[in-house]
Order: sequence, then C-alpha cells, then structure tokens
Amino acid sequence: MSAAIGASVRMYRQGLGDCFLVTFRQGMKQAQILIDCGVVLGAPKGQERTAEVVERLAEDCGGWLDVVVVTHEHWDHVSGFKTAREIFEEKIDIGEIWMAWTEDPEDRLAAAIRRERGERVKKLGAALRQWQAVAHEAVRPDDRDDWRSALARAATESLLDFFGPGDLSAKGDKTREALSFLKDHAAPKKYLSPGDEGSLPRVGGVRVYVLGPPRDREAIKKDLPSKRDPETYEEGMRLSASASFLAAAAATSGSEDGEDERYKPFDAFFRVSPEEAQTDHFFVSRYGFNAGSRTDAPDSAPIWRRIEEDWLALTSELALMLDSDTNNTSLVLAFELGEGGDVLLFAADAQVGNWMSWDSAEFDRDGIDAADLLSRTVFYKVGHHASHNATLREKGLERMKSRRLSAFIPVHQTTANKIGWSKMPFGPLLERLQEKCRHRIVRLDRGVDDEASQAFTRSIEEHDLFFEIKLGAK
Amino acid sequence: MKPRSSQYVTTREEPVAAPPFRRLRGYAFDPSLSQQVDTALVNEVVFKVPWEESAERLRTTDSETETFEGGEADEGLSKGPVGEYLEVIDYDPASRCFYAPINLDSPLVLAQDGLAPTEGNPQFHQQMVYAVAMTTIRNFERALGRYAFWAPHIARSDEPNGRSGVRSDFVRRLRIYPHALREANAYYSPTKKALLFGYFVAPPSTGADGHFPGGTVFTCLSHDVIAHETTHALLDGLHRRYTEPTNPDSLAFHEAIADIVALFQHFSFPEVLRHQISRTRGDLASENELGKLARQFGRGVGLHGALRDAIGEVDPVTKQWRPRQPDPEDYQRKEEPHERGAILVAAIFDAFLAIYRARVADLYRIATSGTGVLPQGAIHPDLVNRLAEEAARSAQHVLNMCVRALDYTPPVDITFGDYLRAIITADSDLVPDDDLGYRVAFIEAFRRRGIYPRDVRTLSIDSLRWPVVRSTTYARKDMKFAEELREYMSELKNLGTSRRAYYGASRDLAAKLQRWIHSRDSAWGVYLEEATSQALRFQGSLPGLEAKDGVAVFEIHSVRPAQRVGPDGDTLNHAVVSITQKRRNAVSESVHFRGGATLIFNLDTGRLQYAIVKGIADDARLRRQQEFVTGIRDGSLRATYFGGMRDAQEPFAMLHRAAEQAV
Repeated sequence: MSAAIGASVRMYRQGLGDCFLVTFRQGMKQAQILIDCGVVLGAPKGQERTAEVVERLAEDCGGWLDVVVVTHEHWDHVSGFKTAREIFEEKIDIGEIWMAWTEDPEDRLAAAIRRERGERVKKLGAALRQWQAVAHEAVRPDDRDDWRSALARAATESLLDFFGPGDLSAKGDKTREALSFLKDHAAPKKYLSPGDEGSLPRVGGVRVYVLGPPRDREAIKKDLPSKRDPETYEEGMRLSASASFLAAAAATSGSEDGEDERYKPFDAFFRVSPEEAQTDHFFVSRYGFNAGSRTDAPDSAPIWRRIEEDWLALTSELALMLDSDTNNTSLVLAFELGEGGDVLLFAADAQVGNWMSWDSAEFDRDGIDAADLLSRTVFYKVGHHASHNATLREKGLERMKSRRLSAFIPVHQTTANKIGWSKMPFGPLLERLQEKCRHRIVRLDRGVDDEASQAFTRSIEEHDLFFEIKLGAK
Repeated sequence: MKPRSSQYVTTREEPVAAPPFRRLRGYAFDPSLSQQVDTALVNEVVFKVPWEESAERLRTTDSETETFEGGEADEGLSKGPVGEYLEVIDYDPASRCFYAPINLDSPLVLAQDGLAPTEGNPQFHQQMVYAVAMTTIRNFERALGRYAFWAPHIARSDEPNGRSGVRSDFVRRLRIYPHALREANAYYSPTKKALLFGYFVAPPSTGADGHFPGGTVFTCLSHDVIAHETTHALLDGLHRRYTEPTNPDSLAFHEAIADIVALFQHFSFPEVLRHQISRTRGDLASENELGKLARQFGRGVGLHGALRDAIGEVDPVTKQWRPRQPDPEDYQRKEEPHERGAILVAAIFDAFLAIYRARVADLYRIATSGTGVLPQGAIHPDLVNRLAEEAARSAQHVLNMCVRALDYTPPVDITFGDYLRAIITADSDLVPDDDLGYRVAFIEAFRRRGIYPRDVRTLSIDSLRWPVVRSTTYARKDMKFAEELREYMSELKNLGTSRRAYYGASRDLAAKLQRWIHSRDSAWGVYLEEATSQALRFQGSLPGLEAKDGVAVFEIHSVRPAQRVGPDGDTLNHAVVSITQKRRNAVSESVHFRGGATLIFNLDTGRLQYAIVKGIADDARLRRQQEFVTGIRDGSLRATYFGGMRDAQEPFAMLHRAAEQAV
C-alpha cells in the first residue's frame, strides 16, 4: 500500500478570472499542476496583478510545473500566458501541457469548430463596430433609450472581450496569441477527451478522469437545457440564419459586398438607395434624414422613430451564443486521491451542454462514472465564476454528497458588476452552495464565507495574492 | 363611434357613396400554405379593410372640409400606405435600401383587389401588413366601442419657467417597418411606437412537407405575426404598465392576448374556415390550421410544426401531432412568458371549443337523425356551411369577450385570475342572460388549467364578478360632489369626432379629475379612497409614496368612454378611468411598486359601478412582487451578462428572441 495522498489548492487573486495551482503529495513526492492563468479584461489593475501572481507562482512552484492545464480559449483563463509571458519563459519550466481535444491540431472536428469560431469572432467584432458607428449617430426617443443602447453595446463588447483585447475586427487574435505560447512550447502536449484517464507524473496514486468537453457538436452548442425536443434545436438554423445577418453587419458600410448581395431579399429593381430616398418627398417627410443633428428639422419626420441601429442588436445575441459555445469546450477534470478516494473537481466554465454529457463518458476502470466521481467530490472549483447555468443542479451539485465538500469560487463581484454582470455570482446558486458545503466556501474577492466554522477558517491560508486549502492526508 | 364615411359628400357628377370596405388580397396564414396543394386555393383571401378615402381625393373634392385641429392636413389614405392609424415605411437598413411605397388608390391596384400575393414584391408586403393590422384594429374597436389609440409618446418638455417636465404626446399612427430586421424575429417597440418585422434565410428543411431550403421567410407575410404584434401595440395603448414584469403572469399576459387575437382572426376567413371544417368533419379539437400560429416561422426556425398551437403539439419522438391535455401543473411550473401565455391561450381556446360544440349540437343531431354519429366520408356542404357559420360566430363572440374584458382589468400588475374575473364581469354586464353558457365555459376552461383568481371563495359566476361598489356615503351626503360627478359624466359622453380631438378631450378630462382629487375642498379624494377600499391613498403617508401640497402623488392614466350594444339590444354606457400611484424604489433599489384602480362609471345611473384595484398599501402584494423580482426566475446566460440592465433591450424583442431559444 502506498503512502496516503494529500493535496492543496491555491487560488490566486489576480481578479475575476481563473488561476489555480494544485499540488499533490504522496510521501516525499509531489506533482504541481497549474490550471489556467487569466483575468477578465476590465478588471482593475488586471495586468499588474497577474504579473505579481505569476511571479509568486514561480516562487511557489520552485520554477517547475509538472502540468499546465488550459481549460478553454477565453481571455479570463489565458491572459496571463500573454501578458506575463516573459515571467513564464524566464522562470518556469513546464513538464507537460494539457488541453481539451478541441485544441488538437490533428483533430478534424476540432479544427472545424475552431475555424468556425474564429470566423464568428471576427464577424461579430466587425458587426459590433458597425453597431457602434451607427449608434453614435442615432437619436433615440428618450434618455432611457440612450442608456439601453449603450448598455447593450457595452455588454456585447465585454462578451467579445473574452477573446482578448484589441481592435474589434482583430478580436480573437490576442487569445490565440496567449494560447500559442503554450502550443509552441517545447513541452509535450496532451489533448484530452471525455473517457480519458491517466495518472500524474511522479505521484502515481492520483488518477485523472476527463469528463468534458463532449465530442459532440450539438452538446457544445447548448447553453440551456432544451425545453422540448432537444433535436428541434437545429444548429444549421442558427448558422444560416445568422449568416445573412453577419454578411450585412460585418460588411463595411458603403462597399458592395458580394456575399451580402446574395442575402438581399428583393431584386435590385426594387431597391431605392439612401441617396435617392433623400430626394424623395415620401421618405423625407415620413422617415426623415438629418444625420448628425439631434433635433427634429421642422419639415422632417421625427428622429426618434427611426430604426438605423435596431437590426444590429442581434449582435449581442450572437455574441452570447458564441460565448456559451466556447464555455462548453471547457476541459473538465476530476482528480482522484487514490482508488476510491476523495475527488477534486475542476469544471472550468462548462455550461449545461458540457455537464449533461458527463454521464456518457466511459472509463476503463470498473464502477467509475460521473455520478460516482461527483459523489466523492470534496473540492469543487465552481464553474464560470458561479453564474447560474454553469453548475448543473440535479445532475451536478445535488450529486455531490460528501459532508466534507468545500468550494472555491473565482469570482470578483465588484468587477463583474462594473462590467455589467449583475448576476455573477448567481444568488440562488450561492445559497445552495452554502448549504451543500455548510459554508466551507472561499471566494476570490471576499475570502472565507462569514458563516464558515472556525476550524475551516483556520485551515485556509490567506495571503494578499492567494487563498489555499489543504485536502486529504497531511 | 362615428361612421367613417360620413365625411364624404356625393356630388352630382359622381353620385356614388364611398364603399364601406377596401378589398385587399393577402395570405390567410402565410406563404407556406400556398405551396401545399390542399391549402393553396384557400390560403389566398380578400381582407375587407374599413375604407379610408384617398388623401388626394379629399384634397380635390372636399375643399370645404376643415383641416384637422392642430393644422395637420394629411387626411385620408396616401401611399405607404399611410392612413389614419398606420404608416408603413419600408426601410431595410441591413440591405441599405428603401422600397418604394404602394399606392393603394392606383386604379390598377384598386381594380384587382390589391396586388396579388407574392413574396417577391415588397409592395405586396406593404399591402399585407396594412390589411392585417387594420383588420386587427377594427376588431379591437368593434369590441371596445371606441377609437383605438396608440400609447402616447413620452417626451421631455422644457417649460418656460426653465424646469423640465414630462409630456404625453398624441401618437396618431403606429409605424410599421416590414423589413426592419435581418433575423427570425419581429417585435413591437414601445418607445418608437413601431412594429419591426424581420426576414431570414431558412435552413435546410427536415421534413418532406417543409419549405424551400435557403428561401427567405418574411415575418411580415404571416397573418399571425402581424396580428400578434399589432395587438401588442393596441394593448400597450390601453394599458401602458402591462409591459412591466411585476408577477409571473404579467408579460405572459401580453403574449397571450396577442396570440388570442391572431388565432380568432383565422375564423373570419370564410373559405379557410369551410375548408378546415370540411377536413376535420367539424371537429375543431382535432389537428387543424386554425388553431396553429405562425407555421412558416415555426418551421423556419427549426421546429417540426407551427411556432405555437393552441390545441396540440408535435410529439418529439414520433413527429406526429397529438392533442395536448390540460395540466394544472403547467401554471405552477412554466415561467417563460410565451410558454406561460400559451396556458391562457389554451384555456380561452378551450372555452371557444365548448361554446362551438354547444352551438352546433343541434346541427349534428339534425344531420344524423338524432344519433349524433356522422357517417363515414365527407360531410354535406350545407352542413359545412352551417358549421362554419357557427364557428365564425363563436369565434367572434369569444374574441369580443376577450377584448372587452380589457376595460375591466386593473391598471397594473395583471394576473390571469384577474383576467378571468374581467371576462366574467364584462360579459355579465353586457349579456345578462347567458343562455348559451359562455361564462361557464370560460370558468371551466380556466379551472382545468389550475388558473384561479386570488381572494375568491368559489368559482361561481357571482363570486367571480368584480364586486359592485356599495359605499356611496359621499355620493349621498355631499350634494356638491354628486353634482360634480354627474357633470363629469356628461362631459365623458361626447369626446369629439376625430381621434385627435377625442384624445385631447380625454386628456382635459383627466386633468380636471386630477385637480378635483388634488383640491382639499372637493370630496373626490376621500370618496375614491373609500370606494377603492383604500387601494388608492391620497392622505397619509407610505414609504416611497411622494406627496405634493399634502396630497399623495397620483396619475390619471386614461379616461375612456365605452358604449356597447349587447345582443338583446341593451346598451351599456360606461366610462373607464384608470388611476395609478407609485412607491418609489419600494420593490428594490431600482424598481417602483405600483398600485392603482380601474374605475368604471355607469353614465346612465351616474354611479361608480366597479373599482378594480391593486392596493398601493397592499404589503402582501409588495412582498410577492419583491420575491418575483429578486427571485430565481432568470439565470440564463443572458441574465448573467445583461441581467443588471433590464432596460438594455427592447422589451418585446427579447421575449421574441427568447422564444426562439426556448424551443
């Protein structure tokens, strides 16, 4: 019988985003794993804090990481690999790099998903840019409408920011750059699929089980449980329907785009160009044209009823879909401390489609399945900064039965609210977590839950740059 | 309402009166039914739209007639179409172009009942939205017995004293943009007072009976979508606060009414009706097109059938249609507005079916020599005609009941239970003798779906009727008050002949009532507090309720007369006044708590007959609303990112996009 296994999880405090150092110990041996390193765009001093955190990480791990895990392609999970790249290069050596199968350059489905995503990010960036340009000119019925429009655009921009900072039309490039640091790294890479299992370097007693992301296009596209027939959600619909929108929205104004032409609903014969319309009494008196002016011209139709920007609001809807699709490509790992032992669950930002697929992951070892792993979970890295649909209820949280369950939530509420995400963390989920964990909860922004037991509070190491919990054998 | 054609003069040169209707061709449902052999012939119908005289003709022949008050010279129907109620402006911003407006008075168009239905000509689209929207408006006006109004434009006004106030401007026409969006969506914008219709490319179809893959679906060619959105606008014109989500029913109610109007309008197309009656052998509870909504749209967004179906659904496994059994659990469980609204729609449709069955029972007996069992095969065309007639009549009655009831609902915070009470009360007032059991049919249908009004002891007609205001202490004691009340009512009886004049007079009367309640020496405030069982508060204080000169702030939302003739020739002479109050940020940091009363005056007896209230001091209601607003209702990814900004979207746009996602 080998020696008992212990683990510690260190949640760094760079801001709203994920960066975890997990250390497993067995006897004299230990394995150090970094899971993600990023902070959301717009977090106060995000870049500086990340640099401090990575410096600290280099110290903590003694310049050696057995494994670096990148869960998915979102800025708040990978920004550090770009903004603090030099520190990584100079001070940290990496043994292995693990990513989800969706990053595998050899995998055809993965390549297709990535290509499609890249395309969507670019087009949505362009659409948002057009929206902003048009909205800038628009005059709305009242102040509240001004607000409404500004808020919707800001929220959409913050969604696209997940793909990194920079010019809207170049969205996605920065996140890919951050990833490329790892992809081009000399360390060997593993691309993991659900059902994969393996052990860690050096600490053989720890088994790793891969639960997600599902190798299934449909599941990845799913952010909420379908209320009726799951099959009715035809992905083709969303794509072809949005294609005609994006063709117009992403086209630069003025240019005659060939692709867009295909989607125009009527023959050219019927079209009256805006220039012609401006000389037509009907359109001038009924619709009105006095761009740039914020007051009604005396003989022109009222400005507040015009619809220059309304059609572009679909951008935010498509950005939401894109975001949830990307979250669903999250690599979900369960670490088992010895056979039949405690489980640590890292769910990244997996959303419903990903969670629902876990049951279909088949492992070689007998008796191991998602339900079993969840029932033995003693540590849960809460998904997607504790938003609602990133922690499944019945088939997720309710299956975690351990009385020693504790949870780390990488959430920063003030930042989230500042960006406009008022339901992060999601109240009811937080309450249920508190019940399930009996307040053994640590939040990145607020530390140990106020109502946690003395013993738990004492067991958490608190530092300006991190919180740490120790699990299993001492 | 004044007859619309009275303003036209026949001349010696042209001794012809204006026709009552303008005949315009269109789709009964949407283009998809024209592509199927069995429905193609009946899908093309002629809408009979109230005649609007051509603007040009009015200018040339009628130089004597006055221009409108306010100097607006644009009377009659001109190209667009632009008429009294609607202005269709065809701007397609995604394609960066406009489409020329149709001239419905062109002889070529007039001579052939408007353009022939086609997807390829935008001018037909303009004609279609005009025809359906006008039909919907007409149905509302007929049921309500007065002009339809759009919600006013709330504008900031800079007053001479340098202060800025808020002004409610008359909005004469609802604007319609037939090609405003490039997406599978259509919505009513309450701030722009406009309907925005989208178009989208349909995906490859899954079934054999599907649409043309890659073809464009135009929401503005769907009767159901147009009627639905127009109804949103009409309801907003009646009840401005119904767009606020104050309880799980409130937004669902908007959706339900919009669907109900669209559904029952199907029964006004005789050819379609006869066709469907013949196909179903008169059994309207079996699968038929009349009970379905937005078929092409539904298929276009990847559903197996229509977007919504009042009587059945397609089984996800077998792909076969099956009737839906009412489940009282649904009302407890379903929260998404369209889904929840569908429960109300199903209840109303169920009531309709019961009424229809009662009305045709004798026909079936006659046709089957008393056995009630139809022989195999097609039913006799005469029977089809008679059944269709009864179906059309039942549908018109049910639609009228549903619309009339909107005068009997509270001004804020409506629930389905309130609506049932409104239907029962409105109908009892107009039709004292319910010999065909309409009201029981409604109660039964609601009961089967677990929709019960709060605070009602039994589900009988008597207890469901809103209570008649009994206390008239002030009316008896205070002669001056009674006089004022009578005077006020006599002014209510005639509000002028044009919509704008009518609107102005109604605002003036509202202002007068405002002054009376506000003045300390009138008895109005005290009386209304008493009559509404303290649901309104003018004296005293409540947290968040602001006061001005010692009187709590309130708003007279609308003053509207309602004159109706019942089937027995009884006339009702009512006036409806709605008053609302708000407690600032009482629900949450940014959400006001509203209360108020709908007051129904009987202009013949000179009495306040009903006060339909939502108490401003009702703490239990406040708590429910707080629970609802802060509750776990919405945890979607949208709410995660956009949740802090209820105002971040067009309210109906999101509802409609959400519907697409919820499938």
